[in-house]
Amino acid sequence: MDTGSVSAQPMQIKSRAELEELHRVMNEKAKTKKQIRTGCRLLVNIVAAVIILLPLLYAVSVAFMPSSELFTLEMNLVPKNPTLENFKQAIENVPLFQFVMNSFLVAGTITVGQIITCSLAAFAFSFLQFKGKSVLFMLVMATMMIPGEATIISNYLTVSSWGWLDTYQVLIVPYLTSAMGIFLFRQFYLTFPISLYESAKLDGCSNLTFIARILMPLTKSAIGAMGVYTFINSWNMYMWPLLVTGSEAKRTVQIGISMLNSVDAQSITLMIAGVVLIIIPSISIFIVGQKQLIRGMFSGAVKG
Amino acid sequence: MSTLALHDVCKIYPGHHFAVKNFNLEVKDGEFIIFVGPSGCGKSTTLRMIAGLEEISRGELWIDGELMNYVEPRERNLSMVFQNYALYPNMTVYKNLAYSLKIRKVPKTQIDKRVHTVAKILEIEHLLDRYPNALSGGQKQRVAIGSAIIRNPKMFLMDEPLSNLDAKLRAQMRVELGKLHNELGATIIYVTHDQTEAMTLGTRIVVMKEGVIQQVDTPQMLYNHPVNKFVAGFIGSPAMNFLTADVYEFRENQEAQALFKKHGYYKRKVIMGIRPEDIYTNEDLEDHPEVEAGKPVAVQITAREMLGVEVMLYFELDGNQFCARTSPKNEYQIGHIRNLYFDRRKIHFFDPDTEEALS
Repeated sequence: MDTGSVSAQPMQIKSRAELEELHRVMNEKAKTKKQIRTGCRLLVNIVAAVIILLPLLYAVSVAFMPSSELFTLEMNLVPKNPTLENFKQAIENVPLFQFVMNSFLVAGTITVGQIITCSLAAFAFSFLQFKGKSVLFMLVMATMMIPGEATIISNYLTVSSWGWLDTYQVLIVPYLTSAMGIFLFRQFYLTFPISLYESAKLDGCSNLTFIARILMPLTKSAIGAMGVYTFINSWNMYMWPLLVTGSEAKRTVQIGISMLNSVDAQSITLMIAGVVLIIIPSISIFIVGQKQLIRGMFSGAVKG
Repeated sequence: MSTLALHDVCKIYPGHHFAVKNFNLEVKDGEFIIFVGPSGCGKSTTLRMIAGLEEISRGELWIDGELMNYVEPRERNLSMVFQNYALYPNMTVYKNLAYSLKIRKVPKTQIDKRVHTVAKILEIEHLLDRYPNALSGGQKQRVAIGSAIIRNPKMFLMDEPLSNLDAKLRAQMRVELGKLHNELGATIIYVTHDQTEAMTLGTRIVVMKEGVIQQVDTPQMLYNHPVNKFVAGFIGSPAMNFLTADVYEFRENQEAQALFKKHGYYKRKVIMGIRPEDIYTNEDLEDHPEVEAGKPVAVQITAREMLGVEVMLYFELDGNQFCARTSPKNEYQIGHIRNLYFDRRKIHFFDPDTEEALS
């Protein structure tokens, strides 16, 4: 009997006004709950972001500080007299512009080259049937196990015997393909509906037309991811360019920036201004490429 | 259009596993051929060998009298409709339709004309600017068929094109496919595991099992004269009922008598098969005086399905599940024991060892 009356009660009280009141109260409650939850999440995110970004933000701030301000006993997180002097000095002291152009040329060519070679190789490994395919693929993968440092001396001897030292091609050619890229593209292609390839074949596509017209447009996100990854990697190359380039004309920016750190011109603010300048391209590439990383182009390819 | 011939075609996978074995078939111009069979029977593999997507391990494929074994898929001039439509998601419907012509460097004005003609036939003119992901399943299917017919290929290959559609749409598209075949007079090879599609669409049906052709015939002949137990059980829904029986001398059925005598089955076992619609209740017999009913068989009804125009009665006979398709006149309920009658002229007999039909 008791339970019966309890369950019947909500039905009885609901006059129009009461119902509206109930709606208002419940809605308010749900809203506050939601707001608190969002607020907490936001707070955690902001704290984490600040901790992670602190060195970067501090570097930006130092870049704008006169060097006299940095070496004081006070805690100087923000420049009191912000100045562009450091940037000016950095650009004047070393041919930073030349270095940036070199880096762009090298990283850009490597990126384009890797996208072309890796997608072609990955196409073969995922769409074509041939003998020894899996063995060959494993062989390619095995090269990833060998650290770059292990081969650097023999590579150096090879390129120097070709007389390639201190040229652009010595910076570019050894990096025109990568096992990592082949692997990345192959994994992406394996999820690609094979019937699209077969349909294209029956439609009269050659393999190359298929890659250019259908596969690549549909795997933009993989290309974007791969492009960003490769560009940043080659932009940040240090060991190899240091070894094979000598003249200022061929130096990349990562080596060039260390020239600011010479004994006779030691200035932390100057160096950091240079660093801030050269991370701008890699950060902007990441921001631009980020969209490509996220966007998927697959909806509608097969029954969804 | 054109003709196709397959001579002793085999598909052998490593380890001497035959996916398709000695496939022989001649397809005449304008035929609608259906490959049907349970999954894994090699029907899709055969179709893909015709398309050139799979290599032919042994045997010859002839199209219009030319050996096609070593010709690239794009040079065979066939078109294929895939189960998952295989539309290019980065192109609009118009471009999807036009693509195969564009690759073949057909002039633009001509492409435009063809696209509109095809779109009109398939009633997809209003969809030309849309991308595939903005289309429903049925619309995608139409576009897929459209891009197949647009370049007037020698032959259409269809690999379970309707199996991704819901039941209602499938029935509708089935009718339209039939219509399209009549209008275009095209040669179509169509793979399906759905025997309703096979029976309604095909001018001839190829029934396959484990890579081997069981029977090639018209739907009518397949239904009335299956060559073995597999075909008899596969074609028809609900499936034919089977029962192992001992043969002894009896007088009622002269035809069967003669058959058994000819093959020497006296005092041996045979498999008897009867279709659900050839089993009659007392009430149905009154409406069908032409039926040569045998002796009544008393059975206990285990299930009853009311389908509106007909009632399915299920019962057990000698441990075999039987189904009878009867008129809704009877009031038989679960648990009732009732007499049912088999139409003697419609009983099929199969050898218990080879499962071949006796004839």
